[in-house]
Amino acid sequence: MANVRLKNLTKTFGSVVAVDNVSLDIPDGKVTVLLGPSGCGKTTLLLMLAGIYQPTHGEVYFDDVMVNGIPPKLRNVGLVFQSYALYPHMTVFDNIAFPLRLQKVPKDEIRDRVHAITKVVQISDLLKRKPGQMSGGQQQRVALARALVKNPDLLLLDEPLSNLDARLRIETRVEIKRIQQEFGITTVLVTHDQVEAVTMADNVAVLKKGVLQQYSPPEELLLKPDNIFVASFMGDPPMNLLDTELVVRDDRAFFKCGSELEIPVPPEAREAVLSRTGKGLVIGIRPENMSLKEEEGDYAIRGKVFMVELLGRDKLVDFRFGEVALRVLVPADLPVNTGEELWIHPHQSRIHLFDKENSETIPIAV
Amino acid sequence: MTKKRGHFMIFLLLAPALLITLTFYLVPGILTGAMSFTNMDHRLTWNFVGFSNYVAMFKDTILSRVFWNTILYVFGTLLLFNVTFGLLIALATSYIAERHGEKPSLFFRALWLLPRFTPPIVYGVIWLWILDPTRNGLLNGVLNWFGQKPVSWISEFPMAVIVLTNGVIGASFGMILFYSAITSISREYNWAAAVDGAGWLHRIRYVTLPLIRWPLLFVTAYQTLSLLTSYEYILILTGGGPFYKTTVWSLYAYNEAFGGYYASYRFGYATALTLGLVIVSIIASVIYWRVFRFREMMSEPKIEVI
Repeated sequence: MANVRLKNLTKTFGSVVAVDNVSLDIPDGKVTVLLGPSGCGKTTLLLMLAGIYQPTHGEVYFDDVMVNGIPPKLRNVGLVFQSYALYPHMTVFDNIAFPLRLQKVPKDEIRDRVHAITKVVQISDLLKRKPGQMSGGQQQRVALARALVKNPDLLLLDEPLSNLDARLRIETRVEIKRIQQEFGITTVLVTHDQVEAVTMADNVAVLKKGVLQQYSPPEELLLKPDNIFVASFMGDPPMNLLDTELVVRDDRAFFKCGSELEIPVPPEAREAVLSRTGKGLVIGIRPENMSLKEEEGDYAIRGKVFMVELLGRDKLVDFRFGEVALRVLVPADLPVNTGEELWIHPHQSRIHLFDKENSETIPIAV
Repeated sequence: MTKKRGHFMIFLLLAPALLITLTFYLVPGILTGAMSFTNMDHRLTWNFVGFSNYVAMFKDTILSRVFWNTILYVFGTLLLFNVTFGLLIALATSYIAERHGEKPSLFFRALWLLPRFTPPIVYGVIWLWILDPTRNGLLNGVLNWFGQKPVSWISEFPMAVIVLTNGVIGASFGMILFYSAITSISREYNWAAAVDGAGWLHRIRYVTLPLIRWPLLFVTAYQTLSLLTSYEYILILTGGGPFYKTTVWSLYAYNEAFGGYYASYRFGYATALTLGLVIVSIIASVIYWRVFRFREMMSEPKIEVI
């Protein structure tokens, strides 16, 4: 097993910067997820860990050993591709045995190890098949077995669930987590799917255009996003993010969004935000961090329901204040009708504030 | 539309192609077949002599020599150049394309394609100059530079010469097919193999070659058949000599008919030889069809599902 450390890692292709000065500590035995929209450099980063791409600048360390320039075959990593990349002309057994054969492992041992690993990923009955004769989920297990059979120090998974249907995805998610814990193997997983990231990760690194945005445990991404990008990328339905500025009237402070919406500033936060008066700010409130009531409250906002959208277990209630929209998530059984006027109660401790200029979070002491 | 009219339409649409096939392929074919049962010579009279041309073929001591020449020429050119060397250029240029971009790779491939574009006579004359037995030849000029005596390449190594000259042209066919097949292999297979511990030789052996199996087999079969019937470069370079050493079956038939080297105008015997070659080609095709299981390639698409 291994700690992996990335130091100022940069990769350029011509004039395109795919990965831009990323530094990360990937802890031993944990699952670290590289998360971001497509084209954010997460797969490039993964391929640099595997040794397929060489970094343009910066270093990669495995347990304090600099591995720049060390070819993939000497890194002892297992890699599962998004396409699985199973050799189509080989049977499942030969696919899994391939890395061992190249290591010149004795035949008996190859057989034992292949059988052992196929038992773990539950494909023992498919050994004689060829990849073309299997479903996506089965191919995925074969790819996982091929990566694990050589007891790698580091397991790299590139979008392992994106080619599976929804139900299989949930099963496989649990399965990969189980196998990872059984082996206690350091794992780096690349995904664009935030649910996948949050459910599987011990730590998540959010990337945008090759730049690291935030590196933290998954809960923190939701509770304490470092900047507007992370705030908007994480969470479903997405966070309400409104351009705002601070106004003080009658000794009360408000976040004024557009011409018709004023969100009262909670007293605990006043101290922190008053210095920002007149500056460009962005206020963020997640739809699930507000509730709807008939009654007024100290910091509630009166709004008229513009539209109601049923999302299964929940309902998304859309309020309009002039050109500004505010969406609130409520349980599906709460009776809400279009055109109705209600009080919106933001949960005071869940209000996020960002500097519009550099998009970074402004801590509000609550 | 009635059924009858439907059939008529089909016939009408096929007619132009049928007409061309009939006039330029089937009729000459039948005439050739008929001619092989005559002893037609420069007087061009149809004088039927039964199977005597075929009997003569089995008694022809030169033909057995020609047969082995043909085998040596076809498989020598095929295995050394058309497949192996074509594959080497394809591998090298695809590696260059991956490392240094498409342009330098294209340059080298275009270079190997040049002989294809050169008119056969020009190409032959260039080789005649390269292999000239005097000091004016390119190779002997180089030898002379190092103080060596000139070598009469063509008369000393006739078979090697015709294999080399045909191979340099033939390699480009395989090169084009193999190159496109190699570059269409998903990069991820090679990456997966690299992570699995394969060096470049292992990757060629276990990833590239199995994945371009069909183009490999196709080039082998196709080029066998085209080499069996090709003789133009041999005709230009050696004329089949010295003393039948480079006479292959198709050239033997040509020489029997149109003289050239041995001026005989034995049209009857020449056509019998040609039909013999057709039978050899059919046997070769059937063997390839069976051994390489071409039916698989023909019947289902071989695009690998990823």
